[in-house]
Amino acid sequence: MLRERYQFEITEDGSTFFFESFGPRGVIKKVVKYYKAGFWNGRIMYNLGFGDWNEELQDIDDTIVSNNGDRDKVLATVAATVLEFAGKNGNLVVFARGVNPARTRLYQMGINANLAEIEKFFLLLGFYDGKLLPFKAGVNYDGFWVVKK
Amino acid sequence: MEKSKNENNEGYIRKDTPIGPIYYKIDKSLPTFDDHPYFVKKAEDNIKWLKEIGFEFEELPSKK
Repeated sequence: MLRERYQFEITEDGSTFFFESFGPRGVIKKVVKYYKAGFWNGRIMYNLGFGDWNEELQDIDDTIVSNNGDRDKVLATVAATVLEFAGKNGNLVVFARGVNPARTRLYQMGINANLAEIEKFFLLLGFYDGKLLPFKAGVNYDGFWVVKK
Repeated sequence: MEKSKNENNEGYIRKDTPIGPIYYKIDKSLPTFDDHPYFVKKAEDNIKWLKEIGFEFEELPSKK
């Protein structure tokens, strides 16, 4: 299924993605950062950071609810950055966890909406009750572990 | 000033992927945010959480 996504800009090193959300609340700049955080089973482990860019504060806000009417398009764009980032790097794993349970649920909604596409390229796991388990729709996970196939 | 949507993806490179076309451009002037406090803290918090649940992984050598 072809989903609508925003175009994005990438830093020269390929680790950081910028895109703009357009909607009733105007233009909201979004940032996705893959931050090298460690190693796991011989793979480089990246932490996914994602939020709204506040130009005035020069900071990220990952708690704000944008309500810009384009949630699915934004989440599909973030999913596309995972694919793009993984495509340009070797064996890797991406860890994603929201700043709070509500934000983690939002990530999970994005994963569910893009599950078929994600599972073509990645082994998807979730943290539940302190354990890393295969991802299943309908289970509320505490974090997500995305392993490049 | 209100920005307008770039509906035609003007100035962006089209890349056909298995999930459909994506439009992107590489901008050398953009910050990588490698040292941005938000992303550093976010990674530290998540590493701390992984340790708390006893998940095994190898940490990066400390920059400090």
